[in-house]
Amino acid sequence: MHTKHTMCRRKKRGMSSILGTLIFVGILFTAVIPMFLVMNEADIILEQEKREIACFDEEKAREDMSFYVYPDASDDLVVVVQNKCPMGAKVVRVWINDDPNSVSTVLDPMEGGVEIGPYDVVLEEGAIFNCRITSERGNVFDSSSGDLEYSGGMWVVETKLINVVISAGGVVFKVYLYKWEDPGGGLQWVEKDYAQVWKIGGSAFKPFEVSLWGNGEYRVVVKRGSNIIHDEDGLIMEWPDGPSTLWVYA
Amino acid sequence: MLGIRRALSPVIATIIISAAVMAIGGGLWAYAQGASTVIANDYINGTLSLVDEITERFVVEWVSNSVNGETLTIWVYNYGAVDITVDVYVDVDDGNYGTTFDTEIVAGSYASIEVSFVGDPLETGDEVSIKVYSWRQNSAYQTYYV
Repeated sequence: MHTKHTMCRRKKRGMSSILGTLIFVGILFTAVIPMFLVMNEADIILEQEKREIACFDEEKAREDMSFYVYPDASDDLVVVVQNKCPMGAKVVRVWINDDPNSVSTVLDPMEGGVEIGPYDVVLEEGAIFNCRITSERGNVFDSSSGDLEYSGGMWVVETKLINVVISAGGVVFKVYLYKWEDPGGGLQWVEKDYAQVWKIGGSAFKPFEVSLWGNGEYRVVVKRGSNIIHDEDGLIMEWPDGPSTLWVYA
Repeated sequence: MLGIRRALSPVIATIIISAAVMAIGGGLWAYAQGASTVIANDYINGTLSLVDEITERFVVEWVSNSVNGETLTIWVYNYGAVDITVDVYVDVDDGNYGTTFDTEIVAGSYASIEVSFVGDPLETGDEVSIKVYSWRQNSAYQTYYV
């Protein structure tokens, strides 16, 4: 009797152990592991989003656009945009003072001369037009030509610019600005300004303010060492019948 | 008598113990599944909220004031991927302040938010500090000169 009793107890232990183990394994495979898999999936999504938003922020920081505004023959304002970064960009809004004008203008990398508008404005004596553009990435850019003013029945601009963008190979460049005028001995190219610029990756950018010398024909010469790599004349500044900013790409 | 009882009890006891183990185990199994589902759902919801918080992006695009200085208008552009709700806090260097709460801005669009300074208008030369604070605890700042 004593021996049988001991054997029965062993059988009881075995059955409950098997059931307990089965239940434990069942819980492990149907509840715990799926839970960890789902959590892991969520972690992967979080990491992906972190990477994407970091890329987005970097793109936003690298985005660079410039633009100028000029009045057309009807005294409506035309915005001319230049994408200065090697990424596509999209202009979503043009601001003229407190009026936002929604647009959807896509610019290819380094694309320039893209016109947006014209925009009808109310012309009053002394009216000042402050313009900005907003990109899809959330950057807001000011006009490179400054505010426009309508005064004495004429348009006045803060600055007249000739912007030189150098993308050619090399590091150090000399940029010369000439104007076609008569200094006393007949019409000739007269040197007005000079700059030495360094290009460290991408492009070098040199703006020349020509407000002081006024409208007329300009010429830009870019040299690398003693070699002329770009010589462009026929740059006609005729504000307000044309843009107040001219672009030269070397 | 005692011996007879012991002879029947092993079978019955095994059945009872097995039933008890299955009942308790089944309950535990059900509880574990329910708990793991709840925990996983909470974790996912928390993670997705965190994703929204991380990907939220907005900027003060433009600020202007009315001629009489009683209204400051702030344009906020939501250039992120999620809708936002923002509160605007404005502090003027002369101690004046204003607030506007609960402005919803859909992803990819902008909103003009007006802050009232009726009774104590802004004056030329005032320096205005603007803080746009989202409900996900992100902020955008701007300084504006009247």
